[in-house]
Amino acid sequence: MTTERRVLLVVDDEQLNRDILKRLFYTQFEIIEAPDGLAAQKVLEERPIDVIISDHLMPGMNGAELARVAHKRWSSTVMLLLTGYDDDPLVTTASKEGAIYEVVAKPWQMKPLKEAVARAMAERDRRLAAAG
Amino acid sequence: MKEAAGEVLEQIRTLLESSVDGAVVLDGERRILYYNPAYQAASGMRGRQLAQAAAEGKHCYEVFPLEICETNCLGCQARDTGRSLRVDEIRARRGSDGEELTLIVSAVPLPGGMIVETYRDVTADVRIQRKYRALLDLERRAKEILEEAVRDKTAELRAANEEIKRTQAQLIHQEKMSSLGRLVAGIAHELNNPINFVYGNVDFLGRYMDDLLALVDMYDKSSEKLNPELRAQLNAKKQEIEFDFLVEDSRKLIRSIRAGAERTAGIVRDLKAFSRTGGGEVSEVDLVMGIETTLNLITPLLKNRITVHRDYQAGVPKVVCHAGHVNQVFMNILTNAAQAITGEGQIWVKVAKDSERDLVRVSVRDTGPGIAPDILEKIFDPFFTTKEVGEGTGLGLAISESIIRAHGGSISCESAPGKGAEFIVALPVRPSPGAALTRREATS
Repeated sequence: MTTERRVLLVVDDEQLNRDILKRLFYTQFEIIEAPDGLAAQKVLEERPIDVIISDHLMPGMNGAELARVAHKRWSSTVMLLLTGYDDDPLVTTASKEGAIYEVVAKPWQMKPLKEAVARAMAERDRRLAAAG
Repeated sequence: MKEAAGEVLEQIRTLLESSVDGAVVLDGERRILYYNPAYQAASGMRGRQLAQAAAEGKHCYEVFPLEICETNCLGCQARDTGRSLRVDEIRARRGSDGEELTLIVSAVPLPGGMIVETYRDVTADVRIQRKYRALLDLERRAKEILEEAVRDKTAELRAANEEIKRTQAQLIHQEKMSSLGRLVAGIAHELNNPINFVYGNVDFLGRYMDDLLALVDMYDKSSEKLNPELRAQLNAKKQEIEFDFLVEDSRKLIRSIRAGAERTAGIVRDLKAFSRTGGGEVSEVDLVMGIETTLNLITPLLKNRITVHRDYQAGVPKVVCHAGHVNQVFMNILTNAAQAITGEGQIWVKVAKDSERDLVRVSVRDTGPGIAPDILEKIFDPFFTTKEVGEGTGLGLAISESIIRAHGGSISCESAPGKGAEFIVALPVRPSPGAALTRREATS
């Protein structure tokens, strides 16, 4: 556990959804926002991110694609996908490959989402420890 | 007298000599007194022969025997009754050469006991008539055969037409369901985010309210430190805005916003389920286990009220299907059955393998009030519901139907008012290649 604030990357094309996530987590984490997968990728290239919490359906690069890119290039960053379409083949495939750590149903409820983020942070610790 | 007879004979001879009909004059004993040339021709005898027979006093029936000569001699009758007689179509075998003839014979009594008999040979006419009748007969039979063939073909065509109509209706239904599915998927997707705005924010609103109210409470408690004029102003404002009511009603508002968002989220979940019932991975599923799990889940609906009778055939094969979706169908049907029963009642659940085809049949029967025919035909229509507003989206059975159809199975309902209802789900043990289980549009 570092003393620095942990960083949560919030990816959603809907400003109002990003606002909700910010409200939910700004006291615990540093929040960085991105409106789509490509913007998120740029953020990842610039700085380390602990957990990504991303919508699936977005213009340009969707959430499942972002997950696969992130898994390949920043494998210790943990990906949570928010979607109403958990049986979309793109999502199930990315989950099976381990690119998505957990899928959270949308519309989301506060408690399960907070718990999922807590699990993701713990997974981030494990991954960092394993990487040495 | 004899002279008179001779005169008559002479007159008749003049009359008959050139007649085309054969004619013969007989005495009372039926001996030939006179015959004309046409009679000779008809008799088939040579002139000399006939002349000799007549001269020898031969009887007419010896010279030219007819089939009625022995039993029903026309000449005798004419002679005895004194009346003319005529018989059409007498068949006769000619004595001279055995030829079969058909004749019209008439007998006319003459003075002195004599008789004139005439013979018209209609053999050829009758033969033509017979042939004509045979032809008519043939034509009638041909017509009958043709009509029968036309009837058969018509029935065949009608059946084919019915089949085409059925298939067409099915295709139209499928197309309708598929475009409805796309529409519904689009709506569900578009609603997801706005619902999330409400759903995700309403809790913050509640929390912010609580914080603000706590702050107001703190102000309230320290209000005695304020000067009386300011305190009076604050109290007046509180009264004006009905502060206590506002506090209580704001909490209610938040609760009802959350309830509305939750219900909308539920509807969107249903819409999504309706629009994508073919997706997901399939596995070998024990339907009985699925039914038992479902019955456990709806225990609160059944408890102390409804008796469930189970009739599970031993050795029913597992079914290759999407467990989650198929269990959703059982959930729908069993919940409907339980909700249909007011007060106490019974539900029979039967699972059996079809003895002929490779499919498993699940039947759920209830002692509910049954379904009227006009409602029965609509129960699988999307958005059709008999429940109160807000109690059902009318998608349960539509979802069930599209799930079962995607598995290549069928779902049907038999019911009548006062007779309860029975839902029958038939699922192929292995989905046919045409089933929509593996084909799925990538939904966003």
